[in-house]
Amino acid sequence: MLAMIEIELKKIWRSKMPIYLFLAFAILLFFHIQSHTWNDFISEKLNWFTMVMGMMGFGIFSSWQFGREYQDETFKDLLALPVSRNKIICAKLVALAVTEVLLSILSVVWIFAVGLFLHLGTFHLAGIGTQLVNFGLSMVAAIGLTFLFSLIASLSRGILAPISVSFATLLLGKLVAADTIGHYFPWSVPMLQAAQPSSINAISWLAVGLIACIGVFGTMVWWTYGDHTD
Amino acid sequence: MKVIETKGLSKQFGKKRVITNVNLNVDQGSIYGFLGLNGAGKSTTMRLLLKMIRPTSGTIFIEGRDVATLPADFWNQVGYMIETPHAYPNFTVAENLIMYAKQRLIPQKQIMERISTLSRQLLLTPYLHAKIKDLSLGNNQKVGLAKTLIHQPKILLLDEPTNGLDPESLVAVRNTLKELAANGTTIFISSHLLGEMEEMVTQIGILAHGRLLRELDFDQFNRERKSKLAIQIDAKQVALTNFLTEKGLTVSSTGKQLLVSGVATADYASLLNAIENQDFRPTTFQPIQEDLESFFLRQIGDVNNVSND
Repeated sequence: MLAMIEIELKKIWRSKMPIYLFLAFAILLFFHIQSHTWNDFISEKLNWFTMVMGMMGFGIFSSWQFGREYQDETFKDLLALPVSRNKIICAKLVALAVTEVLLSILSVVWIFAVGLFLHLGTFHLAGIGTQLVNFGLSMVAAIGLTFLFSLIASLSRGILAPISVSFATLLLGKLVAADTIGHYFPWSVPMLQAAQPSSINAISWLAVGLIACIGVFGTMVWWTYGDHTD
Repeated sequence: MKVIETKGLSKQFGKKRVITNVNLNVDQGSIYGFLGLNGAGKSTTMRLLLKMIRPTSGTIFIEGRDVATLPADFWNQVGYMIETPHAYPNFTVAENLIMYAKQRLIPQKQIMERISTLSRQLLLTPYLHAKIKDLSLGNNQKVGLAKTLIHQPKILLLDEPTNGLDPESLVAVRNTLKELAANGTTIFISSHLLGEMEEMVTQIGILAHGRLLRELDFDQFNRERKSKLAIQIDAKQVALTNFLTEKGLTVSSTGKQLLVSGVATADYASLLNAIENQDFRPTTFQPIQEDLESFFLRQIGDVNNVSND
């Protein structure tokens, strides 16, 4: 299993996809800076990261990781190995989650570096600590939600369909988040968890968990029982 | 011993029936040439054998075990290449092979040694550090073959493995496959290069419209293939054609050469006497054996004629 995770991580990092995503975020971070205090700056940028990277970037990333196997037709090499297809899917999802966590950490470090560069004044550790915890939770939700795109990429045997769905869910998530039922809608949860954590409850997490389970188990079932043609 | 056996294998995609009641019997150590026109169902059959798709009905046995219940580690005995081989385009040939070897759970210590041996056999050594996206079709094909062979499988399923190969590589691949079969590897292979197949195969299966039309070993093929007589004559060609036609033989003309079919091998000498007694002076008189391509087309033609009727 570890060997399979290592291979999947190698595929991801050699593609330079995470580096491109990080660079895009790192550059975009300099745009539209309105905050003048550490707390406001961190809050603004973490919320922004949740929306741009957590919802859209990770969606594209997950779509690409599975979709490329179909696009490059390398999926055929994964179907009759001495390793079960479920283990292959698990390895892919673990590699995906690990990379997304690393990207989040790297981006947080970058946000702090930019904050230091901007001389934002006194640093209040307690407030920022809470923000980071909420950000961590919102990333857990965002990562869980991306697993659905693995299933869509597998079913549609490509990248376009899951990426389109990820854009649609981002827009819907943003729209519904403003509504009173926003915390029930899975794709609003990461944004609300980052910006208004008090609105999130157990049902919100159940909704996210349900989507994540559909993504993980659906992908496994499809790879195990589906007909794999071109 | 049957290494691959199918019973009543059928596959339907929606309402379209692609494979119908196919019963394959592939012997151990044989090179089984699986022949068929485009769309006959060869690749679908291979995918069924590899459990990439599920049969609508029927059973597949590999080494006597039902494929539906095979554990994952069994697949280490099987190497396969389905249609055009593909690899990760941004990785080098060596990186792709290392990655694939790891997926095949080959011990780290043996990986480089196997890559080096295979690269030599398949003439891939100069390209080991080239990226896949920069390779020619033929070299990509060789990478696909190297991936297929890297774990030293006992059973090989190859779909068009010689596509795009140059003559030197074609010979290298042919020799590699023959050597493997001689050492007990069972090879199930499909190709449109029937001349190449004739050089290798020990068993033949002909698939037409999703049905297994014929299954025969090479001895049976030798017995069944028809032969024609090639008679070359510089003058009186029309007269000789009429003479042979009157004897009930079928004659076709290609330039100065007449191709005569319908003559039994035992009657060659008496026919030559008869021709010479009529004062015809042929410059050549030699039997030509039907090759695999003609045999295949004849079999397919018979089916097409029947289905057209």
